[in-house]
Amino acid sequence: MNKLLILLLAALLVQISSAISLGDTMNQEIAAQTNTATSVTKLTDVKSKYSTFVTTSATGNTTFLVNNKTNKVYSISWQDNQAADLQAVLGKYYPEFQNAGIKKRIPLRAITVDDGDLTFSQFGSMLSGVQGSTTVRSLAPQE
Amino acid sequence: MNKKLLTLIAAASLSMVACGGGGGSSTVSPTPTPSSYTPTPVPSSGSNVHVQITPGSTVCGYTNASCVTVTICQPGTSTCDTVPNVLLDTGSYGLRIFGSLLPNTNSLLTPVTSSGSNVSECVNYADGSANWGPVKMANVTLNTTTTAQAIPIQVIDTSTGIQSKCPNAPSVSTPITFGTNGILGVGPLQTDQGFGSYYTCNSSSCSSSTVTPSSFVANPIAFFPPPNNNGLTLTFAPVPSNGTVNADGYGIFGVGSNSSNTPGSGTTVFQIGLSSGVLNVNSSFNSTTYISFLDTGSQFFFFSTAFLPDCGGANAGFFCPPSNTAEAATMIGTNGLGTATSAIINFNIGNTNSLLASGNTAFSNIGAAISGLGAIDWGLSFYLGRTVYTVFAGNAVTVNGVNLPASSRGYWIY
Repeated sequence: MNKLLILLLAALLVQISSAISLGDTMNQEIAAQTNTATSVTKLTDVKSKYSTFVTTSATGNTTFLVNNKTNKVYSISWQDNQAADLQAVLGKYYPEFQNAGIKKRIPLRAITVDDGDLTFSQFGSMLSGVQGSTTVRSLAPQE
Repeated sequence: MNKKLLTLIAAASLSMVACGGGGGSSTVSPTPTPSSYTPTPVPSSGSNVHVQITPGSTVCGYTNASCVTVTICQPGTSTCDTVPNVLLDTGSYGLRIFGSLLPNTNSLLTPVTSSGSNVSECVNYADGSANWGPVKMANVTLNTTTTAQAIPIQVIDTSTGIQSKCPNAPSVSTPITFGTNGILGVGPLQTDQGFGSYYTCNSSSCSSSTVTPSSFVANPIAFFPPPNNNGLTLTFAPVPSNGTVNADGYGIFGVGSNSSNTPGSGTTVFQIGLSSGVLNVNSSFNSTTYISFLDTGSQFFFFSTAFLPDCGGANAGFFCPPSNTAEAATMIGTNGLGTATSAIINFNIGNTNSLLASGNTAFSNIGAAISGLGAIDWGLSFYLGRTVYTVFAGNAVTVNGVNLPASSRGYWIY
């Protein structure tokens, strides 16, 4: 990822799109600047393999892991008052999610999907809040 | 993939725990598990709604689904619809009913508007489903006896408005695909303020909207006539260790307003707290303290342990010990007056594969570990064999002679 851009993000808590999806290129989304998130913070830049960004909104926060080599968002985790909009989170991977088959579903409360490349899990309620994460293994940094 | 990365990605995963346990200033033990099932006695006083856990129905018939019948009426008239198989859910707020089940009233209910446009709501659930539909004013009656007058409810209807704002809703647009005829959300808060996404819609578009508090979909019991609007008392008879086909219980309206909903001397009060957006109290289990919550909409016990084998296969994530295994946790909190309270929760975990293969529908001893849950979810299994009192937010209550102040998130008492 462009280091200048990263520094700018870290320093200014620049707003970014809350609609960043799995597989998106972070730079483009930052440039889009259409959002409801109140801030984005770059937390880590680990061994030049991946970066972690946290966006914070009024109702929760979202963590993006970005592969530094490709600038692709390969993992997203979230904690919010309500469950994620699947299409918004999964983006181009939503069709794969639909075809992956549900590994486990607890009515209203939880879902786990794993097709070997795409993983998705989410649990919670209005009472408990909702936590979830999704990852595309093939986009993640390799050893 | 790098294991560290996987660990980071799974940041919300359950941690493994070591053995141990906590003590407490007071204890509550569940009713001993019987060898056969005896239905819950009808409460001797107070208005109540019958709660049923039954198999076979195409809606609200799944394992440990607690279901009630709700009557919806057009305010000021006797035009009504009665809808059975509505999930009683202490983990959410507000009534949501499929419009297709309101043949008499749907078209007559007054839409809630904001700046002249009809208000619709999208509620996303963690299992990937969602409800979309307009918010309308309705009278809501439980057990033909007690009515909340003219409160906002959500009429689930993906044919109305611009449902593209709620893309997870169309795939569960019928009661059968959704699994219930609706949800009666009776958690500790009065409305779903801050938990659903509201929109104002005209004939061609919907826009995200901040609606006024009077428009939020409401917990009907909180809008019952006083004094039975300060909470909900749920009582369920114990079920056998191998489960039962049919189980039932009662939801008695209010807390402390009559002999059937007044906490006894053996009960413990927990003021509900807030941590990272979670309404909770703490529970200590195997020497680790977790946030925890009570939720009839969660079917079972959800927690983490390294000492119960995973079922694997179709029931991966669920626990499958060779035989019924006794577990104990300690709920820890305060009583709202600064006094520490605690109660030991004794529970059993059975072999999920065997239990689910039995054909029974209600179980008090199924447990699972769910990825992403860093908490203990005391689901419906917890309620079976207990009487649990939920005092709604903003209500003072007297328990065993102690006046507890109104709490912004209410109380759990059992």
